[in-house]
Amino acid sequence: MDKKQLATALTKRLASRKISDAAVGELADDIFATGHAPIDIDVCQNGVCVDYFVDRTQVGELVDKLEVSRNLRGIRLFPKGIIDPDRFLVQVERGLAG
Amino acid sequence: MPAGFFDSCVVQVHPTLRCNLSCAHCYSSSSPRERGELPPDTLIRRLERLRREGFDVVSFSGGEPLMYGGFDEVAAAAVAMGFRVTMITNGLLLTERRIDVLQGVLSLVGVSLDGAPHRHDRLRGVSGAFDKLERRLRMLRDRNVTFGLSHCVTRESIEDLPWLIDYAIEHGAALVQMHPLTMAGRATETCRGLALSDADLGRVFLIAELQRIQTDRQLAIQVDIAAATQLRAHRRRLALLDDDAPPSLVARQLAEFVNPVVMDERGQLLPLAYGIATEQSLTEHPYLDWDRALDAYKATGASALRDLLTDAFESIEREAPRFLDWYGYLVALSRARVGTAAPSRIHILPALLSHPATPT
Repeated sequence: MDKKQLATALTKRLASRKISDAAVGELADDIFATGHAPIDIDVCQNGVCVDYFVDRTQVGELVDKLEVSRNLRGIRLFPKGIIDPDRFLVQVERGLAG
Repeated sequence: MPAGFFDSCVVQVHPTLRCNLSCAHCYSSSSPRERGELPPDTLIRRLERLRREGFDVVSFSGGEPLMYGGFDEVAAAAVAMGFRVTMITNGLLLTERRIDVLQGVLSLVGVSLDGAPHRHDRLRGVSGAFDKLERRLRMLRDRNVTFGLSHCVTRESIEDLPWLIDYAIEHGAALVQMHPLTMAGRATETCRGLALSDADLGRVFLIAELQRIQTDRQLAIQVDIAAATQLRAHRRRLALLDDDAPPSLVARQLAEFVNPVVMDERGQLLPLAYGIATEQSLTEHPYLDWDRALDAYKATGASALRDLLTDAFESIEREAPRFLDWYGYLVALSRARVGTAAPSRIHILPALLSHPATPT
C-alpha cells in the first residue's frame, strides 16, 4: 500500500467508526496538541508521520510539547537552509493507537 | 490583514428566508412560505458602506438566494463596488440561462449536498433531489463555473465523507466544505440525535485533515471545526483582543476588527455568525438610523464583542474541549449570556474563500 492508499484506508476506518472514540482522541492529541498546524500527515504501516514548519524560536517549545505526548517514536529537525535559515521542518513519527 | 480567522474580509448576506425547499436540518427554518426580503436598494447602500469599511467579499445565502428578487441586481452592484461575490444555493433553480447571467459575477458557487443520494433526498424532503442536483453540477462544470460542495455533517453522514470527497473530485468541484450540524431552526424538531458528539467533531476534523493533505491540492477541503490548541495559538489574529486595540474604532476600518459580519433578512448587521444574540448587533439602535448606529458601535470600540471573545477563551480554558465549532460556540455563548434560546446554525461559506478556488 502506498501513502495515499493508507490515508484513504484510515479515512474509511474513521468514517465507519472502526476506530474507537478514545483512539480518535489520542490520535488528535498526538497530531494537534502542539497548537501548530501540520503541513503533512504521512501514514505508514507502523504509524503516522507529521510534519510541521516552525520558526527557530518555536522549535524548543514544540519539541518540549512532543516529548510529553504518547506514542512518540522519533523527531527529526531539518533547517530550511540558506533561503530561510530561521525556518525548520520538524518531522514527528508516532505509533498509531488501535 | 483581516481580523479573525479568514483570509478575506467577508459580508455574509441573508437577504430572504424564502426557499424552494424546507430542509429538515435548516438552521433558519427557511421555506416557501416565508415572504419578507431586504429591499435591493437598501442592501446596495449598506454594501457601499461596508466596502468603505474594508470588506472585500460578499457571500449570499438565505433562504435560497436565487429566490431573492434583487439577487442579480445586488450581485452586479457588489462586483462593480469591487467585491468578490459568492453564493450558497441548493442548486435546483440553476438553469443554463441563469448560469450564463451569473457566470461573470460570481467567483464561487457553493452547492449544498447532504451526503449519499438516499440521505440527501431524505434531508431535502424531495425524492429525486439528488439526481436533479447532479444535473446542475454538470451544467456548472460544462460552463467552467468554479463550484464547491457544502456538506452539513450529521452523526449519520460521517460515513459518507469518503464518498463525498471522491464524488467532489469526480464531478470537478474545486472544494468541499464540511460544516457540523447545529441544533437550531427546523433541525431542533427533525434532526434530534444527529448532532455531532465531541468525539465525532474530532473524527470529522481528522478525516478532513487527512484528505486535505492527501488530495494533492486537487481539491480544497474546508472544515468548520477548530482544534482548541490551534485556536489558542492563533488568538493573536483577533485584533480586538490585542492589548493595543484602540478604545474607539471610528478612525479605523471595521474589517480590521470585526470579521466576518452578517446581514440578516431584516438588514441587521451582526458580528461573526448568523444567529448570534441581537445584543451583539452593530446596527440595532432605539433611535439612530443604520449608518449612525454603526458609527456609534465603532465609537464603543466593539466592547460587547471584545467581552464575548474574552469570555469565549476563558470558557474554552475551563471546559478544555479538544475540538469545537468556533462560530457556533460564540453563538451559543452569546445567547447563554443573555438567557435566550437555542443557538442558530452558523453559516460559514466565506471560509471557503480561504482557499482560492482553482477550476480542475
